[in-house]
Amino acid sequence: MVSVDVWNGVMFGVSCIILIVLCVILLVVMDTVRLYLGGRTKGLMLVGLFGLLTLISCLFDPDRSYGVSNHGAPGIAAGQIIYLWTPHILMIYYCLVVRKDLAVRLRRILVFDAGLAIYLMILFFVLPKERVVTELFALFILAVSAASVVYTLFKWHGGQQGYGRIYWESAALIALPVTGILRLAFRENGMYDGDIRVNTRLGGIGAFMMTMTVIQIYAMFMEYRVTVEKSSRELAKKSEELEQLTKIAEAMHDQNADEDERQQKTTDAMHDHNRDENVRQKPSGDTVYDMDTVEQELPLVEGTDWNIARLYLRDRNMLEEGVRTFYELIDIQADRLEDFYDAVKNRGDENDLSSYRIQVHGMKSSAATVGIVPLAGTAALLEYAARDGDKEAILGAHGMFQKSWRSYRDKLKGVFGCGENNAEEKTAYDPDVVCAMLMLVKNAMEDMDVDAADEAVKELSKYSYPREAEDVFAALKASVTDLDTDLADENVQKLAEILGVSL
Amino acid sequence: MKTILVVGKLNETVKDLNAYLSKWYKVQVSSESAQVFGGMMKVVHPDLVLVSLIGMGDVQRDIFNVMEMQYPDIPVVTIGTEGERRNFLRFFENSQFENLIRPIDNADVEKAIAKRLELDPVTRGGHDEDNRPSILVVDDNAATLRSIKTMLDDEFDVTLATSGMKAMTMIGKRRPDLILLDYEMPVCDGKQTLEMIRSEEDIADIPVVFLTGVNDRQHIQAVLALKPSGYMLKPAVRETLVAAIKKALA
Repeated sequence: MVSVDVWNGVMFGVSCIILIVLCVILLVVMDTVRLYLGGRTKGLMLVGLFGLLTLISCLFDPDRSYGVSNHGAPGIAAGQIIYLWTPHILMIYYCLVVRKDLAVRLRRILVFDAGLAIYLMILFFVLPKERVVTELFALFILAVSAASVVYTLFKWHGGQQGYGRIYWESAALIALPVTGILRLAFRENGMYDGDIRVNTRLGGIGAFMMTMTVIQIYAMFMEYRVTVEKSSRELAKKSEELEQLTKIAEAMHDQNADEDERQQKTTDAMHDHNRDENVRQKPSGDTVYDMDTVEQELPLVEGTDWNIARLYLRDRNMLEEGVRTFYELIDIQADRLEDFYDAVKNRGDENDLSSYRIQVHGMKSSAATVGIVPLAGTAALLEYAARDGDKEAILGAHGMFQKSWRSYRDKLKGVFGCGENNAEEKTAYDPDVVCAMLMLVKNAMEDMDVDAADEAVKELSKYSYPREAEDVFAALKASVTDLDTDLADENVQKLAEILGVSL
Repeated sequence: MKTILVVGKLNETVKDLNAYLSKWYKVQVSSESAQVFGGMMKVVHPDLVLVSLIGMGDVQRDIFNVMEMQYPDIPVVTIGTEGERRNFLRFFENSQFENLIRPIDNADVEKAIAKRLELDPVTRGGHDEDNRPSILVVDDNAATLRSIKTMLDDEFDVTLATSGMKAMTMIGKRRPDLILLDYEMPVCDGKQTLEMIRSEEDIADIPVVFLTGVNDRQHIQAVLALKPSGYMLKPAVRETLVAAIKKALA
C-alpha cells in the first residue's frame, strides 16, 4: 500500500518535470518575443516573464501550498525546493549562458532576484492560506504579466515618435545580418552611426523570427526616406571612399613598416572603411517620402529596390542582364541549396554546414546585386546560422526562405523579358547545324567563353525539338547560365544522343 | 576580324594554336566529325579552314570533299608531316589546299594564314592584338561572375572560373594580368587557391584581389594575412572595382 506522502511526493515530482519543460518552452518563446522589442523594455519583460513562470508554478502545485507549507515528508520538501527554484535556476542559466553580455546578464539576475524576493515576502508574510485568496494571487500575477507584454507591444507600435525610435532600435538588430546591402540602404536613408548597434549573434529560433523583422523593417525605412540631395551624398560618399582607399593603399604598400604593424594598420584601415560606410550625418528631421531617385519606368516588383540594384548594375543593360541571369538561376540555386539542406538535416556535420553556408552566401550576393533586399537579409541570417552551427535556425527558416526565393520566378516573370518565350516561330532543326552548335557550346564552356556559349544556346533555342529533347535542352540552357561546365557537357552529350547527331 | 575554323583532334597542340591565333583572329574549333564540320561551315562561315592532320585517315576525306565541292573559295591550310599529307595527296593538287610541314611554330602558322588571307603581316587586316589587361574572375556563383564580367568587359579582357581548380586550369591556358578571387568557395576556397598560385613560381607574382561578402574584423584579418594586392567587398560597385583593379595593376 502506497502511503499518501509517497503518492504526493511522486505527483509532486511529475509536476516538477512538467514545470521544467514548460519553463524551457516559455524561455524560448520569450526570447523570441524579446527580439522584437527595444533594449529599454527588457527589464519590464523580465518582470513579466517572472510572473508567468510563477503562475505556471502555481498551476502545477498539487497541494496548492505555493511553497509555503511543508508536510514534513522529505519527497515533498525536495520537490518544493525544485519547483520553487527551477525558474530561478533557468533564468540564471539563460542570463549566463544564452545571453553573454556581462552588464546585461548581471542586471537581469538582479532584477529577477528582486522579483523573487518580493514574491517570497508575499508568500511568507502576507498571504493567508485559503485557496480562494491564493487563486486571486495567481490571477494578479497573470494580470501583471499580460500588462507588461501589452505595454511593451504598445510602445513598439505606438505613435509616430515611438515608431521612429523603435524603428531605429529594431533596425540596429538587423544591421549585421543584412550587412552590405542594408548598409547601403542605411546610407541611402541617411542613417547615422549612433543608431546602428550591431548584433553579431542572432541565433536559435530568434533568427527565424528576425527574418520576418527584416522584411518589416525594410518596408519601414522605405517609408522613412529622408529628403537629402542625392548628388551631395554621392559626392560625400566618393570623397570618403577615396580617403579610405588611400589609407588602405598606403597601409598595403608601406613596405618599410614592420610586418605586424603593417598588418594591423591595414586591418584597421579596412575595418574603418567598412565601418565608415555607415557613418552619415543625422537627418535634418524632414522625413518626406522621396521617390526622386527611383526610375519611374522600371517595373515595380515586390521586395525589389531598383535603387539598390543600380548601385551595382549601373546602366540599364547591365541591370536587365543581371535580373535575367538571376531569374534563370532561381531554381538552380534553390535546388542546390535544397541538396545541402538535406545533408544538414540528415547528417549536419561541419562540411554539410559549410557547404550550406557557402551556397546561401552566394544566393545572398545574387539577391543583393539585383536589389532584392528581403531575400538578401534572410539569406544572410541563414548564412550566419550555418556559420554558428545553429541547425535549429536553419531548420526553422530554410523552408520559408526557399519559398520566398522561388516566389521570384513569378514576381519577376515578364520583367525585362524574364521567363518569356521567344515570340519568333521555331523551325525544325537542321542536324548539321545543331551538331555544330552543340560543339560550339561545348567548346565555349570549356574555355568559359560565356558570350559564345550564350550565343550558341540562343541560336539553339530557335529550333523546335522532339518532346524528350526539350527537357534536356532546358537543362542545357540552365547549366550554361549557371556556368556549370560539367553539367553543360553532360547535357550536350545527352542532347546529341537524343537528336542522333555525333560530336 | 577574320574567322578561322580549326579542325582536328582537340589535343594540346590544337589548344595552343587556338590560343595563339585568338590574338588576331576569331577562332572556332571543330572536331573531325564530318557532321560537326558540315554544321560548323554553315554556322561559323570561316574565312579560312585550318586542319590538323594528326590522326586523320580516310574517314576524314569527307571534310576535304566538302571543302572542294561546296566551298571552293575558302582556303584550306593543313598542318601535318609529309606522310600525313600523302593520305590526301589528290587535294593538294588544287591551289585551295596547302600543307605546312610539322613540326612548325605557331608564329609560322600564323604568317602562312595571314599570307593566304592576304592580310598585312603587321596589322592583320586592321585588328591589332587585344592589349586590354586580362582579368581572371574566380567565384563559385554564376550570377556574381556574370555581373562582374558585365562590369569589367569594357576595360578588361575577362575570363571566368567557377572554382579554384578551374582557375588553375584557366591560368595554365592563359596567364592573366590579375586575378579577382572569391574568398568563400566550396572544396577549394580562396585561401587554398591563392596558396596554389603562390606555390607555382611562374605565376606566383600575379596580383590577386580578394572579393568577399563578409566584412567582420576576423575575416578581414584572415584575408589580409594572405597578403593579397587588394580586398573588395561584394557585391562590388563597378567604379570601385575598376579603380581597385587599376591600382593593383599599376
